[in-house]
Amino acid sequence: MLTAGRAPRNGEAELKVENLRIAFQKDGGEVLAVRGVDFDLKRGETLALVGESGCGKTVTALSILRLLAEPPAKVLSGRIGLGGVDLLELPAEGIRKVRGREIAMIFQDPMTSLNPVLSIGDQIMETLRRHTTLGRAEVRERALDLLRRVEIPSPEEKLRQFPHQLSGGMRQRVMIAIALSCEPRVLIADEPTTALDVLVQAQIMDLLKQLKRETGLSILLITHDLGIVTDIADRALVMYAGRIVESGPVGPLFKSPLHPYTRGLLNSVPQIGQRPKAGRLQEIPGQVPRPGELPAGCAFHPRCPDAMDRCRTESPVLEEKFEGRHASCWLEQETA
Amino acid sequence: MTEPPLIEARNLTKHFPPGNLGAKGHPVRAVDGISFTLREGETLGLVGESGSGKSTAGRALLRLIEPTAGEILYRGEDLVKLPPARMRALRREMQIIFQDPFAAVNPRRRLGRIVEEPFEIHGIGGREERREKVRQLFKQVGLPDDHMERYPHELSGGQLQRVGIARAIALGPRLVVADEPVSSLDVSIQAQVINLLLDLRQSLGIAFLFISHDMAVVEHFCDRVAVMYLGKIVEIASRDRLYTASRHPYTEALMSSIPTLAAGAKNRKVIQGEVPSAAAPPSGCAFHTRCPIREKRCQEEAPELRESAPGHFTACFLRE
Repeated sequence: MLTAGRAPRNGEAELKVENLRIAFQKDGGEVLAVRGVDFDLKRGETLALVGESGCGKTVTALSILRLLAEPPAKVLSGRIGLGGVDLLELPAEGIRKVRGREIAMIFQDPMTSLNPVLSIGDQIMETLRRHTTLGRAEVRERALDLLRRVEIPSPEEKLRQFPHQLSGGMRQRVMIAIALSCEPRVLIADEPTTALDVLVQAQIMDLLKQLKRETGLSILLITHDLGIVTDIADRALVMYAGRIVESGPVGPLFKSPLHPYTRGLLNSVPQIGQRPKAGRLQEIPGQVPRPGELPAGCAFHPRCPDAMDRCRTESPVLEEKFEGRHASCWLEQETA
Repeated sequence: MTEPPLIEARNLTKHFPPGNLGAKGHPVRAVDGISFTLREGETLGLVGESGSGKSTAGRALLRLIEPTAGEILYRGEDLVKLPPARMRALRREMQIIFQDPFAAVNPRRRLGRIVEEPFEIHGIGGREERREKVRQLFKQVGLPDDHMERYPHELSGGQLQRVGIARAIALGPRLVVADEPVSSLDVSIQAQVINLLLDLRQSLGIAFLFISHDMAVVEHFCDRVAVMYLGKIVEIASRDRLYTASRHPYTEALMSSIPTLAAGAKNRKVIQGEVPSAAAPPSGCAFHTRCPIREKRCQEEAPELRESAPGHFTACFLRE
C-alpha cells in the first residue's frame, strides 16, 4: 500500500477534500469552476455529489485522481487527503500508483473508456499485471473471477470478445470489474448509469450496492438523478455554481431540505403517481449562471423565491444547521 | 366519441435494409406494424427503451422517413399515397421538436431567422409581417425580444429548446411530434419546458405525439400512453389506467425500476438481460426472453393486442 498509516475505520474519513478551488482558462482570463469545496468521504459510505450541468461536480471528481487536463484547468488551491498523503502534491509516478489501486473510477460512457481494439480479457488483465505480481495463470483466473462477480454471463467467452460486441450494460459491468480488480478503497462513479436504459440502470445500481456490501468499498457517486441518490447513497452533497450549498444524510435532506435550491430541485422532478392537479410542475425560474458570470452575493439569489437584500451582496458560507446537516443560506440562519 | 381521429396509424411499419446495423443480412425491424389514433388536441405518449422504435415511429408518422408498409390517415387522407405537392401543403399542419436543440438549428443563423424559416419555406407573409409574427412567437415561448438577434451558441439548452418550440408552432400546426423534448435538459429546466408545452397545448389545442423514455414525464404530459418494445406496441391505455392498472409485465418493470424520491427503489423488480437486436427479435412474444412470468406458449406464439377494459389494450397471453 502506498499510503502510510492504518486504514481508517468505518465512519472515519477515507478521503478528505479541503478548500478545493479550480479554474479554467477561457478567452484570456480565468473562470472559476469549483469555488471552495470541502467534504469527507467516510469509510464504507456512499456519498452522492448532486447537481446540474456546469455545477462543478465532475470537475471536482476528476481532480481527485488528477485527471483534469492542465491547462486549460488549474487547481488554484486545496488539499485532497488519502491516508495522510495529499494527492495534489504527489509526483506523477505516485499518482499513477494511486489510480486503480487505491481509488478507481468509472465513467458515464463505458464505450469511450474501453480500448476498442483490445479484448475484454486483455483490458482486465492489463490492470492486474500492472498493479500486482500475479503470474499468468493467476491473472487469468482472477479476471474470470471478476467477471463472475459483476454477473457477466459466460465469462470465458467474454474474455475473448471486444467492447463493440457487448451491450451498454455489459460494458459498464466490464468497467466495474476493471475498477474492482485491484481492490481499491474508493470507487468514484461519474454518472455510471446515465447512458443506460432504466431496466439496465436498475441492474447496475443493484450490482453496486451488492459489491459495496461485500467489500466495504467507499463510493463517491456523481449524478444529476435524485432518484438514484435515494436509491443508493447514504449522504449527499448538493452543488450549485461551483459550491456545495447543502449536505446531509439523504433521508432528512430529501424530506426537509434546508436550501431553497435543494427544495426547488426536489419539487421540479416529476414523480410517478404524484401528478399535480393542475398538471403544471413546480419550476425553478431562470437559468443556471454561466461560470464567469456569477451574480454578486449568493449565486442562487436571482432564482431564489426567498431572496433577501443580504443575499444580493453577501455570500453565505456552508454551516452546520443541525447535527450532520450543513447549508449555505442566510435564510436558514435566521429561522433555524 | 365518434369524431374521426386527427391522425391514425394503421399497421405502420419501418424496416431498415441490412447494413451495419443488421445481423447477417436480416432487415432491422425498427417499427413492426403498429396502430394507434390521435384525436384533435390529444396527447399520446410513446414510451420505451432505446431501440424500441419509438423515434422511428414518430418520424415515419410524419413521413420524414418513408414507411415500409402501413397507412397513415390524416383527417381521412392517406399520407403515404399523397402526391408531393399535397404532402408539402399538409406539412404546415404537422411539426416536430427534437431532443437536441443544438443539432436541430443552423448554428450560423440568428434565432429570429431560424423561427422565420417556416414562413419563408411556405411563402407566407411579407418581410415585416413575418418579423412581427416571430416577435409574437418569442413572447409566446417566454424568450425576450433581443434574443432574435442572437446566435444558437449564446443560449443554454433550455432556452434553445424554446426556439425549437417556437419554430414548431409557427405555422399553427394541428399535430406536433415531440421526440424526447426535455431529455437533454437539466432537471430544473425540464420542468420549465414541460410547463411551456402544457400551456401551449391548452391555448392552441395542438395534438402531441410525445416520445420519451421517462415514465414520470409522460405521466405528467399525456392523456393516453402506448408502451413500445422491439418495434411493437405491447400496451396502450389512458394515463390513469396505465399508471394504476397496467397489465403488461414490461410496463410493470419499467415503472418499478424508476427509483422514487420517497422510497428509492424498494419496490423494484429487476428484469434481467437487455433489449435484443431488432434484426433478430426473439420468437413468439419479443419480451419472453426477459419476462418474469413467461410460459411455454410465449416462446412460440406472438400475442396480439387485446382490449381488457374499454380503451385498454395489452399484448400478453397471461394478462388478457
